This record gives sequence, C-alpha cells and structure tokens, in this order.
Amino acid sequence: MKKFKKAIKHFWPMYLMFLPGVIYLFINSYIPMFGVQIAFRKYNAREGVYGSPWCGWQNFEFLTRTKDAWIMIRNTVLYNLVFIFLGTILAVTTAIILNEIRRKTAKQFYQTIILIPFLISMVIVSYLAYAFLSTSNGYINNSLVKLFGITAIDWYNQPKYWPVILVIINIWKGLGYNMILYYATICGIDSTLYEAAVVDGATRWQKVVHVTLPGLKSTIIILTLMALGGIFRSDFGLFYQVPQNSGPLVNVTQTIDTYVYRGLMQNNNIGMSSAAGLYQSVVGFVLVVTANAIVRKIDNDSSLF
Amino acid sequence: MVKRYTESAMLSVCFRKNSYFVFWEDWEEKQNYIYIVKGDVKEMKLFIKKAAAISLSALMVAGLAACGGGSSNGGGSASADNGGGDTTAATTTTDTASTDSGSDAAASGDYVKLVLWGNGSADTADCAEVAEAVSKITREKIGCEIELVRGQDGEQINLALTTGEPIDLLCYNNINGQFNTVVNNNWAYPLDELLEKYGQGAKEVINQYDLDACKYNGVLYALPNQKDTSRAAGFAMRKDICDELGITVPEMGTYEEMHDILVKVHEAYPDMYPLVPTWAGGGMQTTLPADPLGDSLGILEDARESSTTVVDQAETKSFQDFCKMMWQWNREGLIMPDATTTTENALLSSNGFAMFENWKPGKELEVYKGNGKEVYFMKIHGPIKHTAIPNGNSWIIPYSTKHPEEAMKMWDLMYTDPDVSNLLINGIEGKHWVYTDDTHKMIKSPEGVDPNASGYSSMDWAWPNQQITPVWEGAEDPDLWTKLNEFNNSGVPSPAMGFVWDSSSVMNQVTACNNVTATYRTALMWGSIDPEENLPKFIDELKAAGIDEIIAEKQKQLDAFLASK
Repeated sequence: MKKFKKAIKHFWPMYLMFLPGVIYLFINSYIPMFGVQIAFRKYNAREGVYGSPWCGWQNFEFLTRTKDAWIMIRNTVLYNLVFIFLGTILAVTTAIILNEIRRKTAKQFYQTIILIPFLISMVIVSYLAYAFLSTSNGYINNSLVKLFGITAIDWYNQPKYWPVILVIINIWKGLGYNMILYYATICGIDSTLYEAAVVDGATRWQKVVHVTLPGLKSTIIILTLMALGGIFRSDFGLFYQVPQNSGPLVNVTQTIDTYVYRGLMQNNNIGMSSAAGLYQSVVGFVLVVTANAIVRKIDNDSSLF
Repeated sequence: MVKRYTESAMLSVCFRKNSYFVFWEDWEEKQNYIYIVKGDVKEMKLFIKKAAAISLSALMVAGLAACGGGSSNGGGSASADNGGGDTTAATTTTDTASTDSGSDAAASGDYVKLVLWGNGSADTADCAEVAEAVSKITREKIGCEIELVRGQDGEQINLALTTGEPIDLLCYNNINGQFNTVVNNNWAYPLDELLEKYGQGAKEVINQYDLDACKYNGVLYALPNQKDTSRAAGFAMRKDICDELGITVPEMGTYEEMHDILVKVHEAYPDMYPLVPTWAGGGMQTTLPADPLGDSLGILEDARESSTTVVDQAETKSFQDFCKMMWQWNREGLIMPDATTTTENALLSSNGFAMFENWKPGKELEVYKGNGKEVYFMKIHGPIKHTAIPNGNSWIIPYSTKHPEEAMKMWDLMYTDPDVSNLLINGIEGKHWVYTDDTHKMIKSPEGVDPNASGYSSMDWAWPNQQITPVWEGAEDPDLWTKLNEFNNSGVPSPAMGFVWDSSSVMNQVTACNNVTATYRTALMWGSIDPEENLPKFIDELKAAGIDEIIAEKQKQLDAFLASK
C-alpha cells in the first residue's frame, strides 16, 4: 500500500492519463458482467433479470446438440487465423515497401490511400461489395465474367466464394491501420545500423532481412499476441452486413457475434445469446493466457504479462 | 483566503520565478479576480495537485450517479435578475409552464402522456403534428396526450420490448412471428379486465370469432384490427403490360397459367424482371394454403382440409413441389436474380412485373398506393382463415406500460372515434389528404403531393379500425367496408382456428430450428438454390435441431385444444 502511495505520488500524471481508460473499461466491461447470470436463467422480460427462474446449463445445450456451435466457432477461429497470418505478412511487407520510397509527398500519398478503407464504415463497404457482386447489376457479373464468357454467378447464394471474398475485404480494409504501427517501428530503427550494413556491402534485400525484420520482431509478436487474444471476437459488420444477411451463406459467415445478434434480435432468445457470449469470453480468456504462457516460455521479454 | 476556495473557483494559475498569479471566479459576486501572490511556489503547486485530484474524483462520482438532475446552478434562493414579476409561475414545477401564457398550457403537465408505436413509414415532424391533433381530442375525452412513433423495424421493436422501454400501445406487425412471438415472450399486458371496464365501445365493434384468436392460454392479450381477417393469395401483376401484350388474367388461376404469363412478359421485355419479391430481402406472401400454427415449425399442410396432423413443412409435397417449380422458373430467367438480397421495396414501381400478394376487396388500390401502378390479380386459392390472420398486424399494450387503463381508453377511442382513427391512419386534412367532394365519403392526395412521399404513409390495415375512416379514391366504391366484411366471413376456417401455441417448453429447439430455417427457407422458396440438393439437407438439419420434439409438443397442445372446443 505504501509502495502504491509512493507510486501515485511519483507518477500521478501517468495515472491521470490512465484514468479515462479505466473508467471506460469499468463501464463497458465490468458493469455488464452482472448480466452473466442471464446465461443461466430462463429470461422473461416481464420478470426482469432477477425475477427470471434459474435453468442450470439448459441454455448451453445447443453447444452439443446442433452444429450451430461448431460452425460458428470454426468460422470465428479460422477466419481470424487467416486474418492474422495474411494481415501481418501484408502489413509488414507494405510497411517495408513504403519505407523504401524516398520522395516524401509520394510516401504520404500512398499511406493515405492505403488508410482510407479503414475509415469507411462496414455498412458502406457492404454496399460497395454489393455493387460488385449483385447478380443482375453487379460490376463483376457485367464486365469481368462476361469478358471471359462465363455465365453470371449468383454470388449471394454460393457459399464457396465467400471465405475468399471476406478475407479480401477484411485485408483491404484493415491493411492501412495494421501497417501504421509497423511503419512507425521501422522509422524508429537506428539509422546507424543501416549505415553499418551499407559499409559492410549489404544489398537492399539483405538490409531488410538482417536489419529491418529483426527490428520489427517484438512489435510483430506483441501485435500477434493481442490479435490472438481477440481470436474469439469478430467484426460484426464484416460477417453480417457484407453478406447481406443471406441465408445460404450462413454456414460460412456465421460467427459467434452474428449468432448472438441473431439469437437476440431475431429469435428473442436472450438466454442462449448470453450463453454463447459467455462461452466466447471464457474460451477467449483461456486462449490469451495460453498464448501468453507459450510466448513467455520462448521469449520472456516479448510476453504481455 | 482559504475560506474563499469553497465559494469560488480557481480558473488558472501562472507561475513566475518567485510569484504566481491566480485567476479566480467568484460565484457569489459573479466577477473574476486576479490575485498576484508572492510566496512559496512549491506549496502552491502541491495545492493544485490536490485540487485536481479532488475535482476529478468528484467528476467520477457525478458521472456514476448517472447524470443526476439539475446541478449547482439551480440554487433554491430567488436571485434578483431572474425571478420576474409573475408570482403565480412559482406554483408550477416545470420551467416551460412559466413562460407560456394561458391556463391550458400551465395545466399540460397534468395529462398522462401515452406513447404509441404505429406501423409504416412517416417523418418525425409529421408524426408530431398528427400526435398534437389527436391530443387535442384526447385531452378532452380521456385526459391523455399522445406521442406517436412510426417506422420502427422488427429488430428495434424487439429490443424496445426486451428492455422494457415505456410504450403504452404498440402495433406488432413488424415483429417476426407476430402474436405468437409476443405472447411467448410475455410482452403483452393481459386485457380481459381492462376491456370489460374501459373497452365497451371496442367490444361492440369487434367480431367475437376474431377476438378468440387473440387469446393465449385463455387470457386475452391483443385486440384484432378491423381489417381483412381472411386471406386469399395469388399474384398481382401490372395492368399496363398485361393490356399491351393482350394477356387476359383470370380471377382464379394455376401456377401453369402464371408461368405462361411470365414467359410471355419475359419474351416481350427481356430487361424486365417478371417476378419480384413483395418486399425487401425476398419477401413473399405465400400462396401455399397451409396453417403455420404460429411459428411455421410444424404446420397443417392444407388449412382447408380437416386433417389435424402436425407436419414439418419441409417434408410436405406441396412445399417441395413449390420449391422445385421456383427453381425451374429461376432457371428460365423468370425471377429477379437478386430476389433474396434486394434492399428495395415496391419493386413493381421500378422494373418488376408481378409479385406474390394477398387479395382482399380494395387490394388493387392498396397496391396502387404502395407502388404507383395499377394491377390485375390472379388468385391461386380462395379465402382461408387461420389464427394468425385475424390476430396478425394487431396491437398490444406492452407489459412495460405505466398507464394501462389510459392506454385501454385510448385504444377504445381508436376503435370508436372516427376523427381519432382518421387522423392516425390518414394524417392531417389538407396536408396528407383532402376530400374528393362535399359528401365526405372519399379522400385523395392533395394537389401536388406524391402519395408515396407525403411524409405520412397511409396503412389503414395496421390500425385498430379502418372501417370508420373515409375510403381513398381509386377504390371501386365507398361501400368497401361492407365488401371487406363479406369477404372476411367467406373465409374457410382451419380446423385449428383459435389455437395459439405455447413454445416455452421447447424454446431452445425453436431457436435452433429458426436458425436452420433462416438458412434455407427463403432461398429455397425463391428458387435460388437447387432443391434436389438442399431440401434433404434442410430436412436433416431441422431434425438435428429438434423439430420432432417441437412437432410432438405442438400436436399434444393442438389435440388438447381441439378436445376442449
């Protein structure tokens, strides 16, 4: 306690800056935790949360009885793994390429262009996608497909294309933002290291491999770890808005978040929605702790905690 | 100086080497002061730190207290520059009342305010205007004011009801599953007593047979609207194109005849969509004469026949044949390619030729009001009647209401008072509609007002009593309401008429089956996916999700219902 007091006295501006974040977390993450009990109740709007009867694990039964649970977990995890893997590779590559550009105006221009999709709302992205994919009026069916003499493709009823479409959209949208951190790290690498490399006769490629990438290592690990922590979360807009809520696509677009939303807003089954949400949180928590433990074993300095 | 801290606020401090300036605002004297103090700079800095910490924690507490009401400034003491001469204003509590003149405004705080959520799109400003006009009548008659909200979609209504938003009267048309969903989620206030006490007028108007369809486990939860309580289903198609191509449309027809018509149109106008959804996202007024028994999970295949065996619709021949037919039509290019994902309503107004639509007397006019195109109808089956038709698109008093008695009085007024009903359904005279002539029997849109964009759409069937309002021009005759009632009485009742199913014991199976249905049903019914491949999958997945348990439970309840009848 005394130590804590001393720390506050010493670092109070830091704590002050920390405060809004704490308040935000408290309101958004801690207060709602009291609702966890809904997952174990047969919720009834009129009785309210406290008045609804307990029902044990009944709300969790769907996890084992239908394939819904398997599908949504598979989708959430696999999509996220692909996003993390491809996203990181592409973001690092772009950051390195951007760093190689010498003219300042060109650099800023490209950086802005790459960042713009991140600033567009998912709802608007969904309509951009619709403009491309609409069966009768879409750009792809009217130009590219015709060009190659293939018959029009019914995109919104063909699940097989969607894993690719969703990955492309997500990476197109998120690339600029992911890249910024890597780019900033590269800018922070000591320039004498590059100079030394040049003196040693390193080629451009060798500079990237032996100076830039090692400099990026800890940033990559931290960002990947944080992304792994969110592996049970998904971008609701991407999986609900972009496929236009089309029924036949559900098997490849259902994630835990869209399941919870559908259960809550369309089926009014709050108990099952809460159960899915709780399941998501518990497994997500376990995953973060495990991932962190593994990293700590390998490289103690890079772990989060 | 220390004492002053409590009565005034320090605005800022400037530090110099050995002295500092302090800017104060004195709250009592409303003046700013500057103090120039020579003193220990270190001590002052420490004080500021403390002050900052205290004010921050105070801010947090204030925030956590959920934005409590009037803060410091309100101060009880009557200050000199604000009070004014009007001493009577002090007796009323609200600020606005004191500024208004006249007695009625001062008393406005005394009226109960009822919140009505109606169906159909309307601008907020127009809703407020209509609400004010209605309030003028209701203040006098039942001592209430109303607030009117329209255009909320199903998900918004679900959320409002789940979280207990204070609504006093609500049209549940947009809720998926309508009455069945409402009662199974316990959202409605029981009405038996209220209707007896305050709803005698409504009771006289309502047909007892239809009223029975609004009961759940013997308790009344809704009142049927005075609209079509039977359903005849078929296709609506554009008159101008039929006339041009010389197509004669029979009153009753078959799918084969419809197919021939669509083919003809497709050949003559290859760029036109022959068959389009009735509303966005693959909306379809089904032409299958089934009784959905509430939620369509377990149905009676043909409501016109006497069989009371509950079956899975996906396994019925009529459904499978329908899906195969639509798949075939889709192959032939007779169906709009984006039928299941389009975000447009009223497609007949743009590039569509025909759509699935229910028929009732005056329906041609209703389609015209919505699409701006005149249509012919071809019916696939004649009028039938099952529970969901009379209790569909109706109203409830949500459980979250604070004024159930006043709400019932208001509801009664909506059934019996022509002015209230007309205002709510059609809007303001002169702005949203005008009389066609002096007989005041029919109305039309005012000059220069687009009926589809008047700011207050007329959806007469979604209000308690359309039958006491004037008929819109374009209907064949002003006697529309008599014809509508004749049509209602001609409907063939399903053997399960009046049965409302209690799904609470299999709630999680219902959710699981609904998820499966959402995946397949719309796509199959629009012929977007191959039935040969997907129908068996649909059936298997429904079984895995527990449809058999649902059907068994439903059959049990239905048998008990039939035995008690």
